[in-house]
Amino acid sequence: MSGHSRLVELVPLYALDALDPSEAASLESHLEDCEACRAELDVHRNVAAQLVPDEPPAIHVWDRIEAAISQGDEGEVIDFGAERARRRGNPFNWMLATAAVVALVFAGVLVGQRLAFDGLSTDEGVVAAAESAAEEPGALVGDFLVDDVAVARVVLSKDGLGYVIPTDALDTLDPSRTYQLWVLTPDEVAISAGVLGADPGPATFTWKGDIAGFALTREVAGGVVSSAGDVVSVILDT
Amino acid sequence: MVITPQRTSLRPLVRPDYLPAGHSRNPKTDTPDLVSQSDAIRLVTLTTQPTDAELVGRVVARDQTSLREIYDRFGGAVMAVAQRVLRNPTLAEDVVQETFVSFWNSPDGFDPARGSLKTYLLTIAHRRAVDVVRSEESRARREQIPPDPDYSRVEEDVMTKVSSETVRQALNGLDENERRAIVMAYFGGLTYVEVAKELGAPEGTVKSRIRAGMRKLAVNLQGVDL
Ligand SMILES: [Zn+2]
Repeated sequence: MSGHSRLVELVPLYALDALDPSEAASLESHLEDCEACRAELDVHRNVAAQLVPDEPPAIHVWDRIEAAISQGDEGEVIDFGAERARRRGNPFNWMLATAAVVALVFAGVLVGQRLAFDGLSTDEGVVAAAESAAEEPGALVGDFLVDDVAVARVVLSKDGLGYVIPTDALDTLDPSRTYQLWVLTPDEVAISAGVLGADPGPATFTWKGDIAGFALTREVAGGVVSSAGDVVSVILDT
Repeated sequence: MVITPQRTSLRPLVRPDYLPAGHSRNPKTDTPDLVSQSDAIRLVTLTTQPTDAELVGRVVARDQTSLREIYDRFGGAVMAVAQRVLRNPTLAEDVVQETFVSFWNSPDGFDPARGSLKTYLLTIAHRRAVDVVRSEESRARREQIPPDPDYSRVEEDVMTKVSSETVRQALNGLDENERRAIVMAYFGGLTYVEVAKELGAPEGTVKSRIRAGMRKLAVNLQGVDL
């Protein structure tokens, strides 16, 4: 382990790729034999990654990636659309499989208002809290999709604090209408988690108990206790 | 998918005692028990969120849709780091493509015990980006990189776009010199020697600032006291 005490000092810089080539090389050969330095390197790399913002990915770059890997996989045909359809299931199957009647029950607690602690007093604060909650172990994260485009993300922490974050893709409704969020329980009951408005922004809700998924519906303004069935999108936890 | 903040227009809560006539309460939950007109229900889509590790498992099994999902989750962050180091969208897109193609070709290099998938992909991308900046072979590519940016602007940009309040606070908790040195090294793609030159500070000083700053961040962001 000779050199460890000197080389361990270089690890944070190595994690940022900020060493000169000769120093990097001597640390790299030490890393092969030193688990302590490797463990410290992992920590610093995770820290560096946390500093990087999650920006929207560019679709045209994906097209390049897809073209590049498809070339490399000659002979193997993957039908992208079919594979996706298989994984997600026929959009209407769930409805047919779970019989005719879905009970929609209004629980009456929940959403709409912001919790009064720091960081949640602004939209940005709610979004930031949602993003960090999404990274916590045990968090449920789901995207409401419409035609494969996410219109809102739902995050529910293990502690029962939930966030719903609409994206720009969510249509604004007529003022006489509102979006409403529902929690689907394992016994196929939908419980209102709150009324989001016609042009929703980031919002919080709370939920304790078992959960099978979420639904987003359109309802008359003010919200309803029983959905009229105009479902925008459903997320099921499997 | 990145969450985009929007302005809010929250409505008041539906009151729990709002019950149309003719409906009873569910005695178990003490909530109204109502049956909907379910034939009208149309489920537009059905989706689940696999974990990063599950997606990697599927990529190992050559599932391109899972690579796409990984791209949707982290492609933006990979682009963000490449673009900051290279300051040229074309070069940055090359790095993003190389990163995901290399991950596709050897996905089992990812070890979840060592860190997150985001970390793994960003480590590949950052290394490739600085290679473009530093290596002799890429001199032609390097000529497309604009000259030194204003690093206080880079720092401002990092602070504004940072993806969580925790990270912002951790960065704010650093000594100004530590933060500047870390931003210049990581987002500027500079070695500590280059950072020192840029700041007119001794190399040893810059080295210790980066080290001290990174260790503070490790305590606040990873809960590890090194
Ligand atoms: Zn060591």
